[in-house]
Amino acid sequence: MHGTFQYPGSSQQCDACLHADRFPYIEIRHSSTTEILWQGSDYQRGEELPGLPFTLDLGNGATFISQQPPDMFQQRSWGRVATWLESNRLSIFSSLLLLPFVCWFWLEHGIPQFSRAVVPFIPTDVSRALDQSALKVLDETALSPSRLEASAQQVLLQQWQPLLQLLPAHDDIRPAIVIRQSDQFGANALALPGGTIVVTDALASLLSDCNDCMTAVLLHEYGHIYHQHSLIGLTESATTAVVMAVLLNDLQGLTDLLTTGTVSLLHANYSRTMELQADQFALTYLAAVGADPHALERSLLRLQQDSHPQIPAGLLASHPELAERIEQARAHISALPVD
Amino acid sequence: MTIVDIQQSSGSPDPVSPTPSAENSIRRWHEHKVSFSGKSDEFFGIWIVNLLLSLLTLGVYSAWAKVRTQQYFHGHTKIDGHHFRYLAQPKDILRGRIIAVTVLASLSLMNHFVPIMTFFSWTILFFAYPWLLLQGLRFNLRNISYRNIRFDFHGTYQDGAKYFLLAPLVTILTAGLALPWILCRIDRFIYSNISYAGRRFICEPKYSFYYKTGLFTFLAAIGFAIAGFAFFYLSAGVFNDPYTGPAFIFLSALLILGLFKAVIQSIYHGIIRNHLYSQTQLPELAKFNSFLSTESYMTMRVKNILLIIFTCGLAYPYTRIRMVKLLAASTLVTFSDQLNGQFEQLAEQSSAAAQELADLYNMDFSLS
Repeated sequence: MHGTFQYPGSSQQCDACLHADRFPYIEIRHSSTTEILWQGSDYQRGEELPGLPFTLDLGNGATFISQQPPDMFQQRSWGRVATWLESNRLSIFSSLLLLPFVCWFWLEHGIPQFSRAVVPFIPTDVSRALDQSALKVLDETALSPSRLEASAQQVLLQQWQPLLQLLPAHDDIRPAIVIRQSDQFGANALALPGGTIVVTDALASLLSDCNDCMTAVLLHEYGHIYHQHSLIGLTESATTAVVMAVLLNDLQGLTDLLTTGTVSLLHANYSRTMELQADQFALTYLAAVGADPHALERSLLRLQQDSHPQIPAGLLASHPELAERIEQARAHISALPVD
Repeated sequence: MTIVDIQQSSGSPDPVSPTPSAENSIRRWHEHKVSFSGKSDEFFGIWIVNLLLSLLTLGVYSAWAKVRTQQYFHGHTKIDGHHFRYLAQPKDILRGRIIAVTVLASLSLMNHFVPIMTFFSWTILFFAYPWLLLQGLRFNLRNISYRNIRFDFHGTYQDGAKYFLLAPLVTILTAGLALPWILCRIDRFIYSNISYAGRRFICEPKYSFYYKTGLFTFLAAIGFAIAGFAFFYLSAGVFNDPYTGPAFIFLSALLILGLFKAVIQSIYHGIIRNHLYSQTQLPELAKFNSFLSTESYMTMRVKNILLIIFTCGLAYPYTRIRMVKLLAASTLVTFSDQLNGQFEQLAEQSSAAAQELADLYNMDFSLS
């Protein structure tokens, strides 16, 4: 086989001929003088790519290049598969079809599963630190001190204390309620990963005549904390960003994410499954704390009425499947044994 | 190969003949166009399969994808019938990426865990930044070879810190007036520290040229900004629509910003590239020339952006191949005929040095 021999670590080259009579032992001879330029079996075939010449990297740093690829020199097994996949029309077309499906699968299943597996290993101290920085950012941006009367605030806080004794603890996280005024959030409650539950003035006023409704909302928020939903959401967005950064070669994206982790936490929406799981938690413990089992359904209906018809605003923006949740609450009650 | 042959092969209107200087009178120079033989359909296959495999492996395969893509582009780039080679090992790239992600994630967690450490971790990142930049350059150049000889990069951390930490401060303090001067120094620093076959490139760009180009680019940017605002002003009726307005504003702002970046960057880089190449040489071995038309470069970048948007990214392989073809076709390299005789001895020094590299030095920490 004819080709070009490139001397080791040098630009010098000459026309050469490769003899493979005793393959895998090979000899490379000068085309005109037949002098042996290299011999042995310590060589490696360069990666095969479309349109590129056949290259043999020889043990001493020299190279043999030929335009005619011989069959006997196999690539490393994976290189062979990769070359086949990249040049076969069927595999290219299949990749094109599979790509959107794989993206969907990772976003919908892969990354959430991975996050759920990782989150239990995050120390409680980290959750608390995240909690504090999130509350600080919220206080600086969307929240202001509560304008509720001190007595109304006291009632709310006192209502929560006895419930705590009856609820299952997650690690050593003890939920604490803070009350804030917020035009941006409207009637809403937020669960931060370290156990802080933010209740807005508007929500406290909306449910002021129904203690059990407020209990149901607080239990729902505690459900998010108990199941570590916000940490899972944060891990999901972090994992997505790292994968995207690597795929799209964007280092900036990664550094942005790491510096603004707190912000992503605030913007993370709970998934439909997470909302239903938190509702299930509330429904389970409403009875345990001696509250009306219909309270969750009632509070959901009130929130729906309160925010309707401006659906994109406030709570509904992050709770799009409200009807489904009300249905779940009703189904739960109809399944309860009749006294 | 004689000079007459080369004039025919390159099709250059100006024959490259020995200059009257004493040095060149004993050396003949041969001019070669850089050629690129990559094809869009071939690269489409490589790109889509590698993207899918990278996604399936949560990004791990992207190290292999990077190597195969680089091998394809370098292998199809030829000067004087010889192609470049990309020699990095995917495992080195993967190792570097794992370390980079781990370090960044640990620093981020530490910031939340021990807030007082935020200052220290930012300080570490701040001072590590030039080192990481130079490390990436060094890794890439050491893994590119032409005619069996690797390139190298010699920039030191001290110089890197001067150009990538101190220079931005000077830019701010002078309200941007020092920017062209700094960009000129950075280009000179990078190109003068590249070596091939044991010889360093000489790069002497002119400050005055950078100032002229900077001013021209600045005026073009102002013109573009005025046109952008005029567009928004004239389209006010559409934006005020409560249903379609916000989406329309968002999409047109994104498109205009993308086009702005493409136009301004192609004006600056197109003009500077031609100047920089003309001022760069590999002593006694090679000279460079770029005659990139700013207009064709800008048109291609704008078309590429629009094509990528309207095909949801699927046109990316086609746009990349087109761009590399344009850049290659706009580049001339003139080799000295003494090149062959001198390489061997010098190259041995170069490769011996390369073998002494510590493991850590043989890693790419960048995510690109």
